[in-house]
Amino acid sequence: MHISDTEGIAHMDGKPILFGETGLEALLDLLREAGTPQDIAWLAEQYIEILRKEAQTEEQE
Amino acid sequence: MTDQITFKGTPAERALAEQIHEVLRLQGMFYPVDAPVRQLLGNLVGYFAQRRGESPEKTRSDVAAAINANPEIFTQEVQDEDVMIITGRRGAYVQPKVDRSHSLVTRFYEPVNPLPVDDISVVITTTRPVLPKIDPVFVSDYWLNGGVSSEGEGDFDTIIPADDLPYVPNADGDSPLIGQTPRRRSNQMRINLPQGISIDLAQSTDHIMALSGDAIVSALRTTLEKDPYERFAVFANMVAAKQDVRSFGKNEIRSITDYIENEVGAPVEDKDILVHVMRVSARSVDFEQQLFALNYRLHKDLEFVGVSGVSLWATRKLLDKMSANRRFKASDMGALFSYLEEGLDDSVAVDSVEQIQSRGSVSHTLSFFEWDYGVLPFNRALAAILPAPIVSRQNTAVIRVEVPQIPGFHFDISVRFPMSGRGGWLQGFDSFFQDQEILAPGATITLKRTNMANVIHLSYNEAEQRIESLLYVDDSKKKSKFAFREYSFACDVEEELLTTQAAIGRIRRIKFLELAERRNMGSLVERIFEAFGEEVGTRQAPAYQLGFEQLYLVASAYRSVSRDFLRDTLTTHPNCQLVNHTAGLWSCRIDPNTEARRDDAQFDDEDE
Repeated sequence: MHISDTEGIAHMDGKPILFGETGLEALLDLLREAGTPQDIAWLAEQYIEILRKEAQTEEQE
Repeated sequence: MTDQITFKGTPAERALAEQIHEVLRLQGMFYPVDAPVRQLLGNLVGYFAQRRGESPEKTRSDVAAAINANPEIFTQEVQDEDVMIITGRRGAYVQPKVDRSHSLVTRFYEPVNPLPVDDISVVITTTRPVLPKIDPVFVSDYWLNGGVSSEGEGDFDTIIPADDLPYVPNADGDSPLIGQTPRRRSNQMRINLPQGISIDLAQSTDHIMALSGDAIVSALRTTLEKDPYERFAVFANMVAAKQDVRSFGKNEIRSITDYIENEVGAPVEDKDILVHVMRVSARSVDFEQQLFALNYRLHKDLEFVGVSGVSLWATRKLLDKMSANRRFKASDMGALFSYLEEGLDDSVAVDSVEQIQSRGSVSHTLSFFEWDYGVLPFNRALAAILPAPIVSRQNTAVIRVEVPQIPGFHFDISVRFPMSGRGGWLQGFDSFFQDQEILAPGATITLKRTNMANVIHLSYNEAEQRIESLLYVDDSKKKSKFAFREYSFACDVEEELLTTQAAIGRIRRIKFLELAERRNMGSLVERIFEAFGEEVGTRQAPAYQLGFEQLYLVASAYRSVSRDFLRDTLTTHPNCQLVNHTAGLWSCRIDPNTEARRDDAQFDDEDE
């Protein structure tokens, strides 16, 4: 959603952080880096970390 | 104009009445001609007393006399402490009447030519018209809130009062915030799981995982399995990048199928397949990766029947062969265990699931049905020590049962997990329950978890060899029937559950029901009452009484049943009622024309 800056709510321009959509490519990179199959519980923790970083980046922007 | 009005009374009264009316007429000069003109007597007295220079008392007496002398002209209404005088501009006030006798409403209620009552149905219907139902249109809170989730007040976006915003001067040195309206701040630190759970990313990962770990893992699994780009390979609890997973050709899959079905003839572990069919060395560096790739690939074509830590594979054909049972179909058996999924599983009434899990063992008393068919219910007590399904759509797991009391004796059973409303059960015990001549109905067996996920131990209380005439199903003829024969067993039994001829001989009075016919518990209970109960009714209104435990014994010979299930059936059956709570005595009225009664009578004739 894009709302003009003149409206005073430019921060709504930020990409929404969506579970299951945001950060999947980074998760895939992580798996490739590991080279072996990983436990899904461990992967879930990594995904939360990835989402947190994305969210912090969005907030800073 | 008052010329046409004639006032009555003495000359003085007539003169005063005319003056009063003139005053009131002037007051209502701009009123509609037929509107009432009202004035308080006290005000008139005050006016005329001043005008005539007389005392109020004298004036009041004269005014009252003039008004009383002309009741047609002046109407009086008593109000609190005064009197309201009402008149009209043309004389007496007459309330206008509207003729509504010919209005549509009046004509409907009072028709000129009313229909006779006999024909009233012609004009009046007592049937309420069906109002069209308008399906509600659900609009997500997300859109109602302008694309912002509303779950949990203040959980997501917050309205920030302008006063609370930090002071940031703009280029001109003026505060850009003064005078501005409050604005929305998007809280990017919160995400929503598909299950509707909101997660605050500002908290630590450990905290998040401790709080919602299962939901996150479940949601992530679904996401990865349904990734539209198919970038992830998921099997059980392991995930890999799909491009790193080796593929298997059709010929390789065919070789594996052939190996399982024709060479081994039983479910095979993934390691064996990799070593013996794919010729991969177990010492290979990438052995674990190849195992994952194999399991991931086989899940598409073969049946996973393993448990956590032991990946067993079978083919559909092999499973059909293994579970091939001339005596029942899986769908019929599943229906007989469906009560377990309807909240009528009483297996953890004494020991909780936690207690069973910590102890690692469950004791279970065999009913005739379980002993005869070699099945056990997959109830909550047994589920507490048995492995759970580990891949999606897994409906079967094959596990090994070892009997330490018989050295070297073991057999495989299938755990049929509950699925879509039907109950779960364990099958494959027939080779032990009957063939070994050790156990009998009423025997208590103990199943114990071992340190191998796919192996359980079975034990029983040994006793002196004993021979009894026990119930069995005679399949020797075209139509099966219950019969009794000498049977040897060597274990402790609960005597009240031992299906001896003395205890349950009357079962032969009931028509032998095929498995599919035993689903209707209410009908089965009626048949048991008729065959075993004490007659307490009349020929026209037959009724029977029977104890709960006797009902349970017979019902458990026909099908899987818990005491809660039987009690629920009796309680909800319209013809059954508890007669004596202490003795557990129930009664049942039987409709003399029921199908069951006719069937059983017919069976008796045939049997004789």
